[in-house]
Amino acid sequence: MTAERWAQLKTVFTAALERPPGERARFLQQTCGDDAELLQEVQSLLESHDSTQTMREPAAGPSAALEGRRIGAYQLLRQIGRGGMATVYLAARSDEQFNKRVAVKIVNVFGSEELVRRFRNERQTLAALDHPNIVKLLDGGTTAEGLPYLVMDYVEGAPIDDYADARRLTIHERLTLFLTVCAAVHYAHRNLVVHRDLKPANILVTSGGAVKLLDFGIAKLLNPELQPETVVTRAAARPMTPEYASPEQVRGEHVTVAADVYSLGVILYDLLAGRLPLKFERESPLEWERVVCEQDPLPPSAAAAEAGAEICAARGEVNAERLSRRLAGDLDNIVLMALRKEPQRRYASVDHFAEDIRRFLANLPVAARRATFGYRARKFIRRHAAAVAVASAVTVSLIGAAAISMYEARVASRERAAAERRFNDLHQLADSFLFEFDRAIRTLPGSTPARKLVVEKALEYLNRLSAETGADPSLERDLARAYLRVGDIQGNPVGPNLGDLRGWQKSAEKSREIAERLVKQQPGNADDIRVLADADYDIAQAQLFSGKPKDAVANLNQAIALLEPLAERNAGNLDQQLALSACYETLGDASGHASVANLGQPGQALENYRKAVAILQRARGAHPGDMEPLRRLAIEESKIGDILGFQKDFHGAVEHHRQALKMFQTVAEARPDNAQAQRELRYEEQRLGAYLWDSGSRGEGFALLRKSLAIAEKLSAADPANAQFKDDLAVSLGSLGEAEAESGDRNRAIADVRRAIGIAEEVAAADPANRQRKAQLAAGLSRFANLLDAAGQKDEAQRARRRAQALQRELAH
Amino acid sequence: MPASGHRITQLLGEVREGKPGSTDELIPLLYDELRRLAACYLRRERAGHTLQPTALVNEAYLRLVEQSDPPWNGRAHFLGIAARAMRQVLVDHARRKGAQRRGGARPQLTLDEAIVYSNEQPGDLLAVDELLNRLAEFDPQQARVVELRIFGGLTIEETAEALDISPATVKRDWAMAKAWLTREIGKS
Repeated sequence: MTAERWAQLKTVFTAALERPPGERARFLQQTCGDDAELLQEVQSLLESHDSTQTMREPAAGPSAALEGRRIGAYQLLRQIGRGGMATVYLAARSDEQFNKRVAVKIVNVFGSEELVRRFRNERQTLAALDHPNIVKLLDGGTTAEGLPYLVMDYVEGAPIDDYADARRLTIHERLTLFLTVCAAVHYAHRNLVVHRDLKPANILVTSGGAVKLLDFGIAKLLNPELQPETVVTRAAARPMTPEYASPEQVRGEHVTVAADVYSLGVILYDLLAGRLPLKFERESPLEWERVVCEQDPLPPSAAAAEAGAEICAARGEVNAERLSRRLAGDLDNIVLMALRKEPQRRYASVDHFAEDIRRFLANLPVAARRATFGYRARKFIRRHAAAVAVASAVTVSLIGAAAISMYEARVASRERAAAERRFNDLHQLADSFLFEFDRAIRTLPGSTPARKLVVEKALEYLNRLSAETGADPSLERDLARAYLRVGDIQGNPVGPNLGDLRGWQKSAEKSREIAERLVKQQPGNADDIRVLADADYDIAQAQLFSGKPKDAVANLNQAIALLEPLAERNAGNLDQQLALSACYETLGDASGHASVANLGQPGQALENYRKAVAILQRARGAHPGDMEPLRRLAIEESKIGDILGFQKDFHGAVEHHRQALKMFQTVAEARPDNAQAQRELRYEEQRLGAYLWDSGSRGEGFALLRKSLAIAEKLSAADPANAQFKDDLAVSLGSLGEAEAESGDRNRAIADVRRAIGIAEEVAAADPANRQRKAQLAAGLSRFANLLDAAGQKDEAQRARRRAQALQRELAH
Repeated sequence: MPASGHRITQLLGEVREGKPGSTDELIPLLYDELRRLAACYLRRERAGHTLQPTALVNEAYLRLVEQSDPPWNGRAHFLGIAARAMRQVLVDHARRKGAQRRGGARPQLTLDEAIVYSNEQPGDLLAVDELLNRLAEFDPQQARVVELRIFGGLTIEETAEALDISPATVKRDWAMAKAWLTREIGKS
């Protein structure tokens, strides 16, 4: 490839890309002429380009690979787009003679019952929209996996801005095209449907020049508020496309037709001036909110004054000055009117907006006016209410004096605003460290020390902020949550941790102190009560794992007393129900589960597990699409089985473990790619297998032990470096080996246990500080030595025994 | 702020003013900082360990520059230079790991906005590095656009600012380079 050839390629490629896909072939034929090599090269690059087209947020959703699947009456052909919450496929009706192409949009989240219901209602409204410029919603439903989907007409076209640039539409032509868009949006508004996510990508123009609006009302269906498992961070309030979102949308406030007026204003701004009205310095919800709500856009004419040659040329203007002059005046006023921060100060409807554009095109006076001084002053006062309040304490009658104090207020408020912004930024940063960042690195092996560092840093920030600013409840609440997070990393054995149980308890106690103070200040605040209960729960867990079940029970009862009223009031809130059931489960553990030091009250334990079961069954009924209640039910059943086994009720134990296994299987089938689900299934298979084996059903027990090993092998093969998977594999091999030895198959037993020991050695070597692994290895080696002895393999037996002794000596230090 | 921060701020000013030699001095400083940060992430050379260079570059920016409150908006320039240093850090890391340019299996990389570096497939990174070197031979600007986007995480606008070209040009260069790289990676 020479630079010259590349430049030629670039020219043709770029030009082709600007044309709608349908026209490219003809264009290339014409342009490349006899140069077959050039033609082939550009075509191959275009293909590659199309394959790289992904939207803003690629998300590995459950619908990642559905191509070729049949959904309802439609055969999915190929993925054509992907957003944060949905994936779009090109599809064809598979049961009809005529082959109609459609687009199928599949939501990437499992729908709660509520989401699915909302979806159904909304679909009926949308299906009623019948307008030549609105893409028709044809059908919808839920896939076998429970993913809601919509079927729409498939449109081949270019986004309106690309179309206008590629066709080099003049300002006049752009306005006319835009009026078609307005008419369609206004039609939808009259049918009480607000789009909520208008942007060029949703406004396509076909090669024939027909405008087609996509995704009407879909944004509402995908509203994060309706999602299960929404994490309470500011990010949850993120609008789908911040560049086109109105202030009320980024603030998460009530949305009306005025939001569509605003988004249309942004689109028109870009169509005219060639750039967006607002620019974000960073991608963060706080930044979006700050810019969208506070920053005033330049008039389009001022923005156009800096437009590059291409922008001007695409609008048929010779230079930026000419373009700017064309936009100055009425068009500036029209666009800025649509972009006003306060919904009630924008055009009252899209039709009013369109009417003003029509008046402009007809050289009539327009309704939009430059914002008046009074308007700007009011806005200023509202934006800087606190500072102005100070200024207005000095009542002034002279206009000059007023102007001066206004100026001073402006300076004061600017400093205050800067401080506030800094505070918010830091708060936000700490927040994101604690939640987003921590979640992102949590599953990385070996990330525990890094997580601790990160969370401690966040804690430091929050502490310093808290000292600087005094009591700010939201900050204090985050501080309390941060301590819990630090505690998890220090010692919560549920996830990777540093094994510091004392540290865990101390952090939870600090969190409790803060939360208690907050609850005293504002007794009814549910968030604070929840943090307090979480702290109690964590303290209890730390106590339980440190061998103090009695203390744990006291704290768990406190947590339950806090959570019960919350759970009752928010019967539909899954998270609250799960939290309450977790308290009962842990109470059961403390009462009598053999996995921890307990009070020796198995009857009490059963009672508590059953309370958890009752809560979870209700939650399962209310959220059938959500697997979490079922997963937790499975755990309760398994624990009930354990207690019964402990009480020598083997029949009951097997019964409950069978229940548990069935539930774990359902969960694992619904989450085939989820390693945790697979691990839990493996654990239960082994558990039930061992019970069956011990109670004499050796055939079935053995089969389950083998199944359990198969899962362990599969997981470990998929991620060979994962220490947890290796642990599982060693455990599975070990118990299978023991069963084999008991049934007299000594050779196989030795082979399996030998492999288990090898794996355990590997894991222990990689994690030398972990005493538990060493202890387990030593125990395994002793059993292995006995097995070898019985088989007469004295040398290897002796080696194993020596190794076990060496490990025990290490542990004794 | 680390001691090198002030010097870096100063140098950024000089780079912007076009003072000769300033970029040459700046890159090694950034290189050290980025390598240090990257090492924190990659110290445990375990499988599944990935690193998002753009996150590091931003972290470095926060550490070194933002606190010192530069009087001009130098973020894009900083990131532009840091992107090159970051690329070097990763290439060196991959080489130290003795990675080979992979033959046969197709690299797992996707050229989305930002590259993700994985301890397991250092060869993928070398593949991209090599392709970028090739691209630079016939279109240096396009190669630079890719470097800034995937190693520095610069937005279209920031890339435009750092390279002093229009955003539309960046968009076009990015689209074409991405298409070419994706195709070439597929060939390997």
